[in-house]
Amino acid sequence: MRINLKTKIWLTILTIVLMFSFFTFLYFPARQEEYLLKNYHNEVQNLANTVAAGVEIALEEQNFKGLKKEIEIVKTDPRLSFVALLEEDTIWTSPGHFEIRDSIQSSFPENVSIPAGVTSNVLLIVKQASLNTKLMNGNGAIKLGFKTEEITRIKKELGRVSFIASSVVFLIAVLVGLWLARNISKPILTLREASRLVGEGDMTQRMNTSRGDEIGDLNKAFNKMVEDLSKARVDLKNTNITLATTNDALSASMDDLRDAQEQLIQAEKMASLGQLTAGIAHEINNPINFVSANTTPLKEDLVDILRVMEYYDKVIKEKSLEMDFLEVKKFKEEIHYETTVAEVTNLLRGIEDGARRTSEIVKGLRNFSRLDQNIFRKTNLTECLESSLTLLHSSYKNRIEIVKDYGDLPEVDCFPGQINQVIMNILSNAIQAIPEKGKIFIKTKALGDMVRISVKDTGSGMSEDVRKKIFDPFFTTKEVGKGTGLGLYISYGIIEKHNGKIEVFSNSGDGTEFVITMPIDQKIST
Amino acid sequence: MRICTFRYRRLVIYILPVILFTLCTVSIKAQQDTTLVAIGNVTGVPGELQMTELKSVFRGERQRWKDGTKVVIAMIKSTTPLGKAVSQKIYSMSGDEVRGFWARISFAGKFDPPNVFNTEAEVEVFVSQNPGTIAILNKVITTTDVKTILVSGKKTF
Repeated sequence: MRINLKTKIWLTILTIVLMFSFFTFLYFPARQEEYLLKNYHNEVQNLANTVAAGVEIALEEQNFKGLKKEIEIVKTDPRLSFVALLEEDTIWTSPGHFEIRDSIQSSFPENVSIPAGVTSNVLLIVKQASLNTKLMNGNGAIKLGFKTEEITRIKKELGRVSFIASSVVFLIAVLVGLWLARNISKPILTLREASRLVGEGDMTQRMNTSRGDEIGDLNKAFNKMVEDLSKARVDLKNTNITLATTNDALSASMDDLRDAQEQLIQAEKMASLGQLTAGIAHEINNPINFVSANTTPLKEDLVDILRVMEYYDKVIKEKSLEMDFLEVKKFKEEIHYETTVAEVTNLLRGIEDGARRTSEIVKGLRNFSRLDQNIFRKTNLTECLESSLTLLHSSYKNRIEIVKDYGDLPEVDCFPGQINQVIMNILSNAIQAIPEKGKIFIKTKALGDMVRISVKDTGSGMSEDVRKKIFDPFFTTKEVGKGTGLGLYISYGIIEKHNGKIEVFSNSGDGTEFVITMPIDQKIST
Repeated sequence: MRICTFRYRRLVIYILPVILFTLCTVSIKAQQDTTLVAIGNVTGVPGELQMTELKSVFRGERQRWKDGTKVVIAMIKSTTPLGKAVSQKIYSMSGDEVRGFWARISFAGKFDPPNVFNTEAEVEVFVSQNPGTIAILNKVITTTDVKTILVSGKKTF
């Protein structure tokens, strides 16, 4: 149990008062009464002895006047209850058996009833003194009975005085207690409250130092402590601010470094991929150019050959040489010449289409894998979109309908490689958001000095919670190992770097729309 | 030895009372034979008293004489032969009993106790000097201050 100082002070005072009251009320009066009674007993006994001696002398000398005077002295004592002159009588109870009994020969007051064998009690002190001389027939004795009224009165008086003394002491104790509480407890409680407030950060707390005692010293020490603490707190605060600033800077640096590292890694990856893609595109481009370039002359040559063959047929028919070329005719039938010609034509068309398509893919790859990421270049964003769609064709063909609504976009200042990366990422996400069949709406529009690209899918959409975190680094809703959670984070950074913004609008089950808005002209362009 | 002690004790028990009785009887007889005279101060004390009156006065029962003078008793010690005789004739008691009697009276403070003296001369002087004083001696005394009181018409008794 915790006892506070105020309670301790009051307990101490109460203990002192109780002890004082105990001694004043109980112990001292009891001792006093005991002492008074003892003295009273002695006094009465001495008086009895004195009276007995006087009576003895008076009897011896038959000085009855002296005896009377002696007795008168006792009689005038207000405490006297009785004084009796006794004589021992021998009472024969039976032959051979007797008792010695005291018989009252004379008493004062006269005819007072003194019970036989009466002894001292609460109200009376009874003492007896033997006479060493014969009274009449037997030995005499003096018996004195003194009232204890005086003792009782003194006891009452002592009790009254004790009560008054105790009351005075109690009053003084209360005053002392109040004084102590005011001069010790109260300042300490104030100090405690001030300490609590200082602990809570209130450094304006100051204690009164006008006192010249230990409390005053304590208050001075407290004030000094608060001042030092305040100073230390200010220093600490400044240090903390500095540290916080440094920490923020470090944190920002760390974030920047991490972003830079991530972007570097991604850029490096993209660069590597671009180099690889560019290499592949370049290598494929030459042979496919041969194919593309040779397809048309081959087609023309084949037309010429077919014309020659038609001319042969015409001459044979005009000059009726069918019989001479019957074997040729048979051979033509064997090889299904007409079908073959149609097939060759179709094959050539297929080669032509394949070469054209391959050429487009290569062009898309080259376009996508541009190695000029760090240079703003005027770029056709529609081409970027088309290139990305070309590259992603296999992932959406026969499944997703691409609905294009291209506006008349001017060429835009950008890092083409990075913008391609963004478009590829957004289109890829849109394709992945549609599990089976669906549509992707691509809309571009020029809005003053800005361009706006919108990619909207009919996929499952996303929750508000996911939407809020979609641009956070390492946040992904894809299965483990299928997404790094960096695609949109990097895209956000790229668009920000282009002084644009990327927004997402989505409702769960209602598809998602990514909107990129960026300026047409960058202030710094090379 | 123990038998011997027992016999002596029995002897003492039976013989001693006899001896004491004899002695007392002789003593009382001697005291009864003593002639006594009542004297008094010329002032206050009447010249004649009846025996019963005298006894009453000496028992302290009378406080004032007829003329209003205070009764003062003068006595010789009861341990003296005269005192013993007075004790016998006036109080019908032994000397010790008279002592006890007056001790009780004095103790109770009822009356003024008697003035007790060692010798007849002291008694005579006291009687002569204190009006209303009465005393009993064994001789007739007649001076200017002291008179002999007739008791039942007799000077002696």
